[in-house]
Amino acid sequence: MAPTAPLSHDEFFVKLAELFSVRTDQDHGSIHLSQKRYIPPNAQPQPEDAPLQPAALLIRASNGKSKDHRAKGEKIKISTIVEPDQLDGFYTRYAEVCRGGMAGLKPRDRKKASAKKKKKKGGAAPAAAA
Amino acid sequence: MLYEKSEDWLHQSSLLLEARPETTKITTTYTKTPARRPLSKSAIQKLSDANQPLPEPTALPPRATLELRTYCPVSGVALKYHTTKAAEVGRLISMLGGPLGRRMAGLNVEESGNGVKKEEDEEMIDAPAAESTPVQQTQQAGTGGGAAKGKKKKGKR
Repeated sequence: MAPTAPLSHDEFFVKLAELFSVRTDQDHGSIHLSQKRYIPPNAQPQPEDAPLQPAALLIRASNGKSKDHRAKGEKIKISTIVEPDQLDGFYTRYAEVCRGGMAGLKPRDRKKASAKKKKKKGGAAPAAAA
Repeated sequence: MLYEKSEDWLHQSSLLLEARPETTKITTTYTKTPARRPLSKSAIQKLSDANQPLPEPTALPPRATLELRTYCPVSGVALKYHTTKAAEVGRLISMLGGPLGRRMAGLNVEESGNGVKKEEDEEMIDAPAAESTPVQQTQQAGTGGGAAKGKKKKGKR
């Protein structure tokens, strides 16, 4: 598959939300997200001991489909580039989209927590009495 | 290496990023699996032999897990963290952007404002605390006669 061109942040978030929504409808599957330093294809290699220059980050997302699925065009692979000064803004939105999309994770169980507390109280009382 | 606590993972990952910011990559994988494994062919065969009805598929929602992995192909170091809790997602993603993302981008974490610097300080305080907590937990389990409790918890997961 030819590398797809990086999307703008807005497009990336729209597509990422779509990617997650497919997962909410199905009962199995994965979403792969990754981040690494972006080195432009025509960049000059830096000497090893040179101080680290600020660089953009490359964020990728994929549904991990391969082989047959790829031939059927089911593979989705998107990417975007985040400049160092946009990091904070990007990640706030990124966190929002991820939180919305990862709905299959266990929600905070308040019932259980309160039951445990009650249990503790109940358990402590006889001990104190004894 | 798999870390039990996200703080430990964050600490080790930031050390790795500091050492090799140019090659290290962070991967986040969100996986959903059906709540129950489908019956094996032999199990279905057994049930049909005994003329018993097949159990109905469960209405349980599918399980999901989130795995964070920091990997450096040059040194071969892989640091992992697993979770199934929705409450952690926001915090984990902000870790990816805040301390880890800034290091990866080559920004100076100390110069980047108070928020991030504070996090760094907290992290340093957290690290030794995290080491001491498992000991406390095991002690509590021992004195409280909590061996059975521990087993129960494992089963629920």
